[in-house]
Amino acid sequence: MTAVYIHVPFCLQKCRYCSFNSMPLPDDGMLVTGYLQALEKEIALYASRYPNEAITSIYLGGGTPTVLPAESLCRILFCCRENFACSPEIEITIEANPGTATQEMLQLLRDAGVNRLSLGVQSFKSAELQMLGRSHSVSDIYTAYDAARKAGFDNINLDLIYALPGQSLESWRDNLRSAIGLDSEHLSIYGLSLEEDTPLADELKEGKLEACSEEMQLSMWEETAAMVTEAGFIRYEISNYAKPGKECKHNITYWENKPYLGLGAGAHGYLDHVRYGNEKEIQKYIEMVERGELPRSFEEHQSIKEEMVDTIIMGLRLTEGLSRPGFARRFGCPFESLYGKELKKMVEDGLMAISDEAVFLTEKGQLLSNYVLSHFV
Amino acid sequence: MKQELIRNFCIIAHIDHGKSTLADRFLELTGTLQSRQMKAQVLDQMDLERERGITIKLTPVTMKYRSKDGQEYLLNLIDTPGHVDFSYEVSRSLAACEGAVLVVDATQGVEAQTIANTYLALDANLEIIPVINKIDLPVADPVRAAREIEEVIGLDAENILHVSAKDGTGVPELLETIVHQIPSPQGEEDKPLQALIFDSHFDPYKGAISYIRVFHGKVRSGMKIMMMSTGKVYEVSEVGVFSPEMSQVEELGPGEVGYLAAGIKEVADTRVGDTITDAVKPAAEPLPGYRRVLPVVFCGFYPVEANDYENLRDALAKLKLNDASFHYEPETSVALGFGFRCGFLGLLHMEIIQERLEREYGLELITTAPNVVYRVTKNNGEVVTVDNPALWPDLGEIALVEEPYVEANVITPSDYVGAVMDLFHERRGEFMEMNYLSPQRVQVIYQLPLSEIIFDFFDRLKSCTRGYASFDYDISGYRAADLVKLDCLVHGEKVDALSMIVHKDQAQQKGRALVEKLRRLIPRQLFDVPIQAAIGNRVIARETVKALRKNVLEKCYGGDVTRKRKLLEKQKAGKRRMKQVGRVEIPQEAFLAVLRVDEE
Repeated sequence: MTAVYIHVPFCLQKCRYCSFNSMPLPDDGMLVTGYLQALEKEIALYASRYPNEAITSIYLGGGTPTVLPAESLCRILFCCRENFACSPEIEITIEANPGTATQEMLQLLRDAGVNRLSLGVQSFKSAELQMLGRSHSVSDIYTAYDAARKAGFDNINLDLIYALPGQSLESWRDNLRSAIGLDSEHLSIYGLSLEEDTPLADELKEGKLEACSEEMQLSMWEETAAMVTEAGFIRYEISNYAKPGKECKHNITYWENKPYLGLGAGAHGYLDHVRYGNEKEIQKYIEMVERGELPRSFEEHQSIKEEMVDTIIMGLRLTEGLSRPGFARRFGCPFESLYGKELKKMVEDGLMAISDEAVFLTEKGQLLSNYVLSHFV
Repeated sequence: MKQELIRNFCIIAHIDHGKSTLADRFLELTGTLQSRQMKAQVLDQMDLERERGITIKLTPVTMKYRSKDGQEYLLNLIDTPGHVDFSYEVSRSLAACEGAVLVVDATQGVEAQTIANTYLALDANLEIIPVINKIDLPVADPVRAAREIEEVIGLDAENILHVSAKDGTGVPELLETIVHQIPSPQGEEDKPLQALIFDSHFDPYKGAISYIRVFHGKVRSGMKIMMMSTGKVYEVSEVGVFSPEMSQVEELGPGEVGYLAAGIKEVADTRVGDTITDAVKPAAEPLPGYRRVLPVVFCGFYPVEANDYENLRDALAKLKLNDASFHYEPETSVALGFGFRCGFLGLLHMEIIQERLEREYGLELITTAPNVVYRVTKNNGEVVTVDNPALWPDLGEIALVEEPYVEANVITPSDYVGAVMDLFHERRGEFMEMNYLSPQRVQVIYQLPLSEIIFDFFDRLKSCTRGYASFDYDISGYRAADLVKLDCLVHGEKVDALSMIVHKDQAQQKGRALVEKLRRLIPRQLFDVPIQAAIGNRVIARETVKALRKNVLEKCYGGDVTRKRKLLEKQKAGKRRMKQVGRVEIPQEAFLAVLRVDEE
């Protein structure tokens, strides 16, 4: 285990496309305090079980971690440092909503060792932010970004969403231009995924909004790759772009299907060949930790086959692909001897390619990755 | 056993009118089964029957009954299958009896099926005892039911018994009536053996078991017997009666009903309707009425997994052991690979076999749309019968096409008669007759092609009459028709399993509906897939499945991987049920799409 994910399940308000485990920040300060105490206990619980783990990344995600006071966030980080051996090059990321990231808070976080900031920008257009139900304004983005730079953040990611209902290609280009103009180190760019039972999905179902056509999504996808690459970013994963050397170490842990510790209510983790999910309900989560239990609501023991499939479907997300020597070392058998037939078909269809080092998706293969991956499960 | 004390009878009833329940009461009242041995519908053999609550066929049973006159009678209850698919079997079962109990539901009245079977019974000179059942129900209308029996079937309403098979009311009186009204058999012991086979089943130890009714002579174990239709000779290893389980007896004499085992390898050698005689001293003539039943509905069964082919073959062979009327032979489809073309007596028969293959043998099947048997005369005068659209002769070779017709008889509440007639017209029906059974109920008779009823006709009839209509049909011969073969091309490849025979006037509309349906069923591939409907070389309809261009899960981090894997697994499982035709994967449902081109 080298990576630690910490979940903060609170938000100012729920976004209209969000199906994640998050709740509006409770007025009940006791619940938040209780949650933070439980988190610290959970950290200690794992530290006692894994005493000699050196960690190379911490990721504070949510929800919106920055709805909590900076002091609370810093305390969590101190607690991690006290309990785990942290490597000197540790990457510590925090997700922030532009509306909640104040200069003062960012400074405190930076001073506490947070060295990567992920800003949930989503769009540079007021109307689009409103449709998404985001709580921040366009000017908040610039304010937060400048504040972060001033606080000393030299590794900033911007999250963007495209393929919004009714969005034009021109509007998306504007968004990309604005993002590129900020000159961040990293961009995460996702097509909007409509999850069941979210207000946005409901409105589409009721016909109040018109979904983005597949043709349009395709154009936007292509435009994104072109403009962002032109601006000096490298696409290193299906939806992630970084300036050279600024890839997110933490997320690469996921894509290489390596173990990580997930902490907090609703967090997922992957340790000792077990995928687990923590209890989502905050009160229950707290009670479990108080009892000295691992606060898990489910555990799935991974078979070798499942681990293999996960390694493939995650690994192929990376542009450099799935390491052939790495795969052979991990599973005692070369990838191409297990999936020779499928691989051949994919290569023939121009969806995959092979080098000495790796098997990887072509650009066309990335666009059709679900189709490609369905051959390897 | 003295023949004067034997009564052979059957029960004629529409599905749900209470045949099995009535049989249960007989078993109880005659003490054939103690009530603790009773389970509901004892004589229903298959799980399928108990589950669906329909009786395809009851086991025959011999019951001892002490009448009020002090005599002990032997009552043989022989069942008639309650479905139109099996009307030949019905006629043979009836031929084994001297009487029939006609059961009519007091809440429903006379149904089409009942009429058909009653006419068969009257043809066979059976004494008919009309009974109105379910009089315990609050909505029972025995007066109406009686009037219908009188008007429709022409039986005297005065003699109609009122019973409740459920609570037993009237059943003792019914047993007395059976004893006193149904004539005893009139066989001659000294004549050469003549025994009618009315059913059979396969026993893994004893071989094919013939269910027989002895008319003349006697049969006992050790005797050499001969099947009169084939001349095949066997030595009887066992005779017995149904009580209701098989129990061995010394011999079966005139008028008696029981079974016979003679090391017969398969049920095809003990054909329903055939006459068994003494091989040493054969009867001069077989009993009348034997004919070979031929399947009228055909479809292809293909294993989803090609390596299940052997299993499918073995399963078909096992089913065939027990069902002589079911036919199968290997066939190869370009689209579906190796499979079997199977012939059935009707749609229910097909469904039963299909369900048993899937349920009892755990096979996953792709079933092609059922079709009837066409008669095609070629230009050179040669006449071919075609039971598979894939084998339809070339357009240029065909001089004449004939298709089987049926006479269909529907009884419906008069409110729906318009809807029923519309349905018949849509199905190329030709009006024959309409009779008012009562002001509320109408009988309509149409001639129409058999092919028009094998495509969901019954479902449509049920839905346009809110389930109140009943339906029966009888094959009435072949008629010339303007039929063409409609082919379907997927990505330029003809998919033989999707070909269908349609009337020329419907070809355009069906072709369009078919390609439209397939467009929605065939998943998008990496390239555009044209779907065409064609008659010969002429394309009459076309649709395109647009190429899949973007299918990517854009956001995928640690917590998403399990969900993602499961999604992909599901996608892959769906793929397994698809067949690769050329470069295109076609899902199983597509092969049945031809069935539903009339919808929407």
